Amino acid sequence: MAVLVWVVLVMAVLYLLQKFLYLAIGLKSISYDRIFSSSRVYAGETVWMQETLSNRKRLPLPWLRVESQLPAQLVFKHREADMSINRGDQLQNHASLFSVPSYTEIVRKHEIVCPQRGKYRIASYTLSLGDVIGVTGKSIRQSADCEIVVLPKVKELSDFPLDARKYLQSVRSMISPVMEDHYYVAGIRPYRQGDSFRMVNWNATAKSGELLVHKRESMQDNDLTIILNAELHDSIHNLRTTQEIYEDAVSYAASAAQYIISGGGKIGFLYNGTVEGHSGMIFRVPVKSGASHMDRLLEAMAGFQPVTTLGLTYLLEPIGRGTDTRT
Amino acid sequence: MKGSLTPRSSGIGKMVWRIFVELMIWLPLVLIFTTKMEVRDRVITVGIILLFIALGLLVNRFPPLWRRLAMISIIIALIGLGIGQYTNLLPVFLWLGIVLWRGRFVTLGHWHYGLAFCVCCAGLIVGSKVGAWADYRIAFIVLAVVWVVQFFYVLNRGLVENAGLHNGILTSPVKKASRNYLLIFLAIGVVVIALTASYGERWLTPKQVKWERPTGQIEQPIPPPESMDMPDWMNELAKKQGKPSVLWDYVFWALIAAGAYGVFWFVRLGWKERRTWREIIRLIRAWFLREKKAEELPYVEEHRSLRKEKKEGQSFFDSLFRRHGRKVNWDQLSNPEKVRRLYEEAIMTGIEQGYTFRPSDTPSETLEGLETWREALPTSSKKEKNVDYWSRFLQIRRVLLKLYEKAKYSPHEVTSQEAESLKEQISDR
Repeated sequence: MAVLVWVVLVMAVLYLLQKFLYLAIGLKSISYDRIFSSSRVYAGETVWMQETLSNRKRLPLPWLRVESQLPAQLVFKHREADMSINRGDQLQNHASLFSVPSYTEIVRKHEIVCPQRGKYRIASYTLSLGDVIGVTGKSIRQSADCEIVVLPKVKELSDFPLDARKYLQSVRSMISPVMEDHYYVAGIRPYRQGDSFRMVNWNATAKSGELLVHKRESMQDNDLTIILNAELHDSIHNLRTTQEIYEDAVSYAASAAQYIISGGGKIGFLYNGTVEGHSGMIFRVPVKSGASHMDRLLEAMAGFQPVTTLGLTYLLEPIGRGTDTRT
Repeated sequence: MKGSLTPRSSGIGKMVWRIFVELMIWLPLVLIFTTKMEVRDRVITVGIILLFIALGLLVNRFPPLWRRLAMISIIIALIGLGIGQYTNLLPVFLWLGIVLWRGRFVTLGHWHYGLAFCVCCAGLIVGSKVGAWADYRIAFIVLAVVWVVQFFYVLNRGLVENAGLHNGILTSPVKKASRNYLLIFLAIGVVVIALTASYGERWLTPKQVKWERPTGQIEQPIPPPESMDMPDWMNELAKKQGKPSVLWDYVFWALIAAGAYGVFWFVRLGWKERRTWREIIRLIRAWFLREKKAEELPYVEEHRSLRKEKKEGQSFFDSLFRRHGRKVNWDQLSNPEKVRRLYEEAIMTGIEQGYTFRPSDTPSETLEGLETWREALPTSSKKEKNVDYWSRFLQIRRVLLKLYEKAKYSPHEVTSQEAESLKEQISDR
């Protein structure tokens, strides 16, 4: 009997020793990082979420669980049903289980689909450790700085309704320098193939020895300001706009802006709703052109929320009166 | 935390295995109970026990109501039989009832193996009281150790399942790795138990002191012998008992020396064959970390070792046996080491001749200090030693500094041409 008591005693002592060892240094020299393969993606695109776990010590970790709360809008592509992802309306719990040998770095990549636009942040994660037997030991909570911006989906021009398509095409065509359909001369420019000989400025040509033509100033305003209404309830027609329609509207606005700017045009934006991180303010962007302007617009649109800051009527009234010069 | 020894087979196979494990759990009690029986009776008893185990598993397959009714009926019948007919066998009937009831556990959890260990302990306690059961002692101990191992194994499996939150995140590589670590733990435990079991038994067994009241002796004292003289036949024995031969001492010390030489030889052999040992360890490690079948994982995973590549002779044991002060041959050095050797030689030559080395100085300051120190020396002392060396050193000081900084701090490699060229310049070959 004494032998069996000794067996129990030895196993208990060994168990306690390894338990204390894992409690003392189990989570030392452990680093965990989580990043997305791209910080900006368009809605509907796929991105890789990369988890990097390093164990920089001799003691191996039989199992280490990393738990975090991810936005529910990020959808795991593979085996979502089997994985420990309990989805809610806003957040979902995600857990990863690792077994980390000594001096080893593990990189694990999950494929994620981002169906909805938005700015998604992972603020913290919890690391839990198991000892050799498998008993859960120490847990620590660490802050994280991991963000992904899902930009609104950009539609093709062919997806627009016919009227909107015609209008956008007309706006973009106005920008063409070839079609100068106005009267006032703004200066001179070199001759281009197709210019009428009536346009040639002979005096300037004689002076410079190079064929120069009149450059005419555009009299038409070809700048486009997009106004997006955040009011989901239309009290005049007693209609309620659904979230899907609102998302569609944001997507159309982004697509229109993209179409015009890609054609060299200028875009301004007016939104009477809340932008994430700037509640209570009207989103007003002056007319500008260029890719960087488009990037800023798309990033801002990723944070649009269907919460009205000011009724559209009140917003447009000063513009209509011409008193508001900020637009 | 459910599990069994190896229940990965068909339904019948699984049931047969389950019956076998259940029999093994109760084996100590079965053996003790059937010690005094004839072989035929023994076989019949074991058969009855197996029948009850199988009956328990069979009853478990009934619908819940029928299962409970059948179970209650059989147990009441057993108790009734024990009370009415075989009063002395009532505990045995109760035990059979328990065996029957245990049929509800299709798979065995860790606590079942704890129960098996307790049964072994009970068997040992009972066995120690009766001499006829002493033969089973070793078997019970071995069986108990097996149950302890199995207890940890099943416990680990259940705990790892819990760690995986009973979802798909517990993949087979994680499961295997966790099991391997447990096996190492159990192996260490078994080795420690094997090495210390006898000591532990002695330590834990209370010393038995036999003491009898010598009342009888006091009441009836033994009469003293009539004659105290030594009988004749004992004289011969007394002559033979002399001082032990000194030869035995020599033999003893010779054996000790041979043993010491054997230990030394073994250590030397181990040291010489350290590559072989490392290879064996590497093979064992590779065996533990082997991947049998690629599992389809919902993610992509990459492993990278963070262990820095160790050079030959950098381990702890190497440092114990290293001869200090022995310089490695120039040809065995890597290019950065060659540059550092030349830098070290320059500093050491300066120190030997009186230069005060300051560890806080940067390499640039040190070489500049060497140059200043050398120039400040009086002309007579300059002619004494290494005049040529110093003149060459002063010419290539900047090159040496540049290469030394490159070798020590820069991520760029020092080429062999650079190292050899520096060596030629400084030694004027």
